[in-house]
Amino acid sequence: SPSKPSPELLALRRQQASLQAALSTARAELDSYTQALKIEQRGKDAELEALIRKWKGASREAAEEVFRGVKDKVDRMGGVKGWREAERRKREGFGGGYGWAEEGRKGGEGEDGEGEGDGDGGDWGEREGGEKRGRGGEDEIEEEEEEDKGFTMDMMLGSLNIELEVVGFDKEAQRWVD
Amino acid sequence: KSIANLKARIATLEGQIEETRGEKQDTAEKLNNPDVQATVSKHIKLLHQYNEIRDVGQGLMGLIADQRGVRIVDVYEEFGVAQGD
Repeated sequence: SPSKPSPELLALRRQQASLQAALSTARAELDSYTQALKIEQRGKDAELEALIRKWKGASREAAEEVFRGVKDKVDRMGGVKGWREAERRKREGFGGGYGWAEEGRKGGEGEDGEGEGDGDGGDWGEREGGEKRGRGGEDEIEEEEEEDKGFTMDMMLGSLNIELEVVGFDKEAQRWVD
Repeated sequence: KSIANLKARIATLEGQIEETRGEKQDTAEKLNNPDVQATVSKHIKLLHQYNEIRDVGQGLMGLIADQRGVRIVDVYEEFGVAQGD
């Protein structure tokens, strides 16, 4: 039978294994330090912060414009109640999409001068906003409260699957916040 | 023979560990912020925020371009962002 490894050999093997682990740890640490140094030296964070501010400002302006268009459409659908009805039909009918887009596509032909397919509801972003509403009880009360408030920016952002924190919209105060 | 090989291997490992720790020390001395994890996490968080808000902006401007029947780059320009931003 093969000879048993000597105690010295066993000790050396253990030492090699522990040194191998130590080397891996040291290399991982070096990687983090190198990455941190690169981040500091390239000054990318300041650039990212500037870009975030730029896109946030532009997104808010764009949201205001989209909201103006959508609010008209929702009002023509009979306000939040009509919009919710359209959403429900939409959900029961087929796939995602925006209640207010449907109205736009249907009523848009020439009625107010907007051409075919003025549908402002590109299929960008699956809509979730409506899912959480309209299931009786608490939802029923929330819906009524929302109907009183009329169609609001946070409803639109929700229907476009945009998280309020990302774009910085305060639902309570109904305004942009930083 | 395997004992000799192991000893040679151990010596190599010890040398590599020392060299790596030395490099790390040199790098550490060049850092403004010694908290390496904080620097890396902040950077990753900023990248995530940037990607998220850019997606939102591009989506909204896409809707506006659809609405007006114009090119999205024209809408970008109007809202003060360039394609490369």
